[in-house]
Amino acid sequence: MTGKKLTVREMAVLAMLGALMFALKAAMMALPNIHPIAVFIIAGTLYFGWRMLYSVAVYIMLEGLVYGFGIWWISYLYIWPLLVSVTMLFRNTRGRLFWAVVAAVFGLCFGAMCAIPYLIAGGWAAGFSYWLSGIPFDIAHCVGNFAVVFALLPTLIRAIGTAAGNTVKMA
Amino acid sequence: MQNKKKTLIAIIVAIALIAGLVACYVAFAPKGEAGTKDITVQVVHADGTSKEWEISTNSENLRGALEEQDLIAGDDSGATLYVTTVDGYTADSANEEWWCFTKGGETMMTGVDDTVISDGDKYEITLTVGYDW
Repeated sequence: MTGKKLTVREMAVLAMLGALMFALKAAMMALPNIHPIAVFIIAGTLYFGWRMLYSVAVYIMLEGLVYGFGIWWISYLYIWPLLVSVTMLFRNTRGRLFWAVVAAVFGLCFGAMCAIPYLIAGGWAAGFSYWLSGIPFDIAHCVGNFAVVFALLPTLIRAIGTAAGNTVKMA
Repeated sequence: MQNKKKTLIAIIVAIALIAGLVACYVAFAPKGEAGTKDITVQVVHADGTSKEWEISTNSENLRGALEEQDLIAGDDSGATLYVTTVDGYTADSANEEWWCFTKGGETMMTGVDDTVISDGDKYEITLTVGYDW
């Protein structure tokens, strides 16, 4: 996979993954901080590696184009690529439980990561109160991420592999 | 075995983080006050006119206090209320209108559901045009 050009099929799958993340998050909007973004990013990164950043870019652009490029959008520019990076760091680790816990930890840290632009723009008090008020949502995010990743990760990896033509040999 | 060790470490980190977050929230989150609170709410419309309400309420959050006076309405489909109507005027999103909530002139970091009110608080609700950073 390293150094190999993307096939047209793989490019289509990467684009669709970005679109799917956006659509499914919108569909689950009534559930606070519960969405399948983490499982898609982890599954896609485990299959495609760094190239999953293309899907992440599609997702982030769609979010900005539809909901506006607000201060929250700035945090998306580093939060979701960070999840790709963390996944790449542990890419050789197997086991859905491990990845479910990683996604849960990511959910717990989500509010703190989102508070950074508010911290820069408004100072410590603004950043801290933003983070503090979001803690219940961070815990919901943690539980939601754990459940979704534990339930769907292996299936999603297989589905991505099938869609992409199984061009990557998974260990 | 390596996978099991990594999983165990991840679980320990998750538990520690959850405990830390809960402790911070319990320690620092503003607590609702029981009993009657007197707050002032000023609404500033697009033409610059403003009205003021002196509200006595037992509600612990701003949403309850404002809804008791039928001052606000909005989209309740999400986790919290997104206020679109204040004092009978509905902000026109096509013109990038929105209602800006401030407390004592300072930007609020929480929505009406999560804003805990205290006796003597003053809130301003200003019709604002244009979305910015």
